[in-house]
Amino acid sequence: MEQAASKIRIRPRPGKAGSRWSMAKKFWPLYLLMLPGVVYMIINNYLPMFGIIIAFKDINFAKGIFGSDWVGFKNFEYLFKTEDAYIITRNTILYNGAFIVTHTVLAIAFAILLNEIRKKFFTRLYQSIILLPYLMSMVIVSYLVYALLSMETGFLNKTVLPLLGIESISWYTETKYWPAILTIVHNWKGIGFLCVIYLASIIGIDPEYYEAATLDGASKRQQIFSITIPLIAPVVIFMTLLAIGRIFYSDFGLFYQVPMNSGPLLEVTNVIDTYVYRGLIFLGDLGMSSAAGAYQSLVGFVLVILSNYVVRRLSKENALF
Amino acid sequence: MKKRTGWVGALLALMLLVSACGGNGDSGKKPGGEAAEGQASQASGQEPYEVVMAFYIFGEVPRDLQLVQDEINKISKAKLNTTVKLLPINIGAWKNQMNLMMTSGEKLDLIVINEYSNDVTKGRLLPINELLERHGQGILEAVGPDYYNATKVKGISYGVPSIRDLAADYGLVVRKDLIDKHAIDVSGVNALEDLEGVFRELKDNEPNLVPITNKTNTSVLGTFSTRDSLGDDFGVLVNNGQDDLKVVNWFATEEYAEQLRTVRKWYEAGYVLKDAVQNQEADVAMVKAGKAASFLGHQKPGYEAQQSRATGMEMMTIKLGPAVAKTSTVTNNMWGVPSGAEKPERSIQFLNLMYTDKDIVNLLDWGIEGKHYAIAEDGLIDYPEGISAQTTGYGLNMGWMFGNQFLSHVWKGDNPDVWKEMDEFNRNAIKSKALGFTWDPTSVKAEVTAVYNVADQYRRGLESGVLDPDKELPAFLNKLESAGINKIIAEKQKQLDEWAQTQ
Repeated sequence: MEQAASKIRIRPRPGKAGSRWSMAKKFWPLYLLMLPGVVYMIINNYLPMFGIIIAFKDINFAKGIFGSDWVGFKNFEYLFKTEDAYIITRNTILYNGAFIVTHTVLAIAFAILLNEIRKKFFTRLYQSIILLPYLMSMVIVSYLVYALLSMETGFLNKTVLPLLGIESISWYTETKYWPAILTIVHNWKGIGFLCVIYLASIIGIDPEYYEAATLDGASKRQQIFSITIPLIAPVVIFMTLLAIGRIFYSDFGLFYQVPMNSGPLLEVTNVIDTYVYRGLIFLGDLGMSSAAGAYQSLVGFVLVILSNYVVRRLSKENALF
Repeated sequence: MKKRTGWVGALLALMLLVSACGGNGDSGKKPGGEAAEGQASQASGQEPYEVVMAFYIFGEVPRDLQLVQDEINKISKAKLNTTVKLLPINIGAWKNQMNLMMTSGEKLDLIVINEYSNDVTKGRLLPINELLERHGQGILEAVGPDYYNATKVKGISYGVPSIRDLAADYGLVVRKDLIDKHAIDVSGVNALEDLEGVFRELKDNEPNLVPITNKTNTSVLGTFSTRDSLGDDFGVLVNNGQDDLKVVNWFATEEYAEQLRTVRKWYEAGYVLKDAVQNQEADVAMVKAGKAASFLGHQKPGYEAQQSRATGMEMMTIKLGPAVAKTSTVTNNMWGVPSGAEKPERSIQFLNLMYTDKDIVNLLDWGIEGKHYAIAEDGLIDYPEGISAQTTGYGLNMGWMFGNQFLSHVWKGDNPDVWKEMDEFNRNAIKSKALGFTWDPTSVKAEVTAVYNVADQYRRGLESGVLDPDKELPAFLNKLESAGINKIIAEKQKQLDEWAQTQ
């Protein structure tokens, strides 16, 4: 839609009075086409923004949302009050930071590898296999992990570790393994989707670049680092910026379901979303949960602006806005 | 020109489609409703009114819900010129959907309450004392003054408990065949510590079974209690609230430490699942699958029969404490009128039928006679010919929810006198001194959230014996303190003292 709009702007009719009006007259079908999308955006994405006032109110159903009392920042207090605040913030940012890096690197690597496969059938096959976990529910994933790690029946404890002569490990009570386990699970599950996006943009690269490079005697490695990666960089930056915007949101299923809500692991599995869930499942306080949401989106917003700013300083044409 | 009409046409079609999607589904009343209207309004002298009644369910919506609703309406139409619309909502979506319906002002007249304190402080419920006195005499009579008073918050009642087990006694539910087969003596068992001998025998004789399992999402001890939790376990009355009204930190008591050491012993001896902390299999399912022999639970008359049905094996119970009534046992299932209700008096009138009219209670509990159940000669009921638990069109089986359960038929396999027994059970239960006190955590919300997280981190591990209490209990207590449990206890004590003065 943005492209269409910019094209219209490029072709103004010089010398004609009220050109804007005449433009509207000429392209009104296009505006009409845009209308449902705009209406949808307003209803679905902009109107709910007023809901942010819930974060500053003590909601009482008898008085309604607008009649409830204002409480200032009281609803936000619990997010910063205890020593847990440090743990959940640290966990959220470090995990998501690690996820963004590993995800991007692995997805690009897989995309390049897939692109090099000459037999179409196998490309499709591998692509489907990599994508499959992405389509699975986290609950199912959590049981797959459980099937590996359980004390009573787990594959690792019952089959693999005895073979190696190692005593069985109580995975669900040992914190030290979980940063690795969660990263592996997250990558295994999510990589397919990103990989498909990168593969699509790699396929879109003009083959002439590679032909020229081959003629000049460039090795495969040189081609990858000098052609493929620079050319898909805009897509990578775009996807990464999107991910950074959500750095303060965590995948609830991953941090709650996969460790089977195991208490002894909370030190390394408690993130903002699970903290809010655990605390409010009993209180059911709308104000406090909205406060958490408002806080997360505010930080996400600031981070997107900041990282876009950095990208702009480094290479202007790759910035989002 | 032709092109242009094409555009407009497409747009119009789109708009039509959108408006059709958003169209309201409740166009027109139920067929057959109007026909009887004329006579009925004369009968009760009231305008016709539809009561929307929301409750949560655990499985799918019963196929024959509409038929049951029509039958109920025949009765309530004649008596009150009121019809009811049953609105079952899956428990998983219950909380969200209630929040949404109430904030958006959707029609709602009667709801089940499972978080009384929360609902009252959030203003979700209407005060109903006066309405009950005017339109709900049958309800008051059935509930009785003791339990009715337990619903009062600052002197005002916002809901009434359904008539069911209003007290609870705790104990062990265990496979009877195993106890008999190995001649295990359970006569001397009346405390948690005494169970060790039973478990040892079970473990020695049945090495493939875990002697005791835990309920999903809670610890082995999660379904056992000797205290009045005063709502959330953060600040409790020990000894079931029989001594005084001094709120203490349960986790810092010697009794708690003792319980943890007991469970730790069980765990180390292999009586508890090694995976207890993340065990996702229900206790009943574990027993049914032959993987476990027993579990702790709170009980009521007819509990053995209920659990035997659920597990498909004969179960027996070993009592570990007296029956106690606490605010939590009374308020965990109530009926109330949401604050947006249009005509609250009509809600209460219908609710009154649920506490007094045998036919309505049986319709809600068991469905339609001859279709969903049949009465045998001994007065007990069972599935009709050719119908089973799998094929019945109305298998809610939630009699404890809908009003006065004591008016309902007794299912085959239960004691025919089960309701009489339960009535006595309720009457004879010892009552916590804080029965009727409803805790309002609003002023310490931040602390409660933090303390919940700490409890989540330690309780399941400690109370299943997975964590060593000597090492982890002090850490738990430390974290509780820094999360602000003392502030919660002080606030609770303050509210409890204020409440006690008004009694």
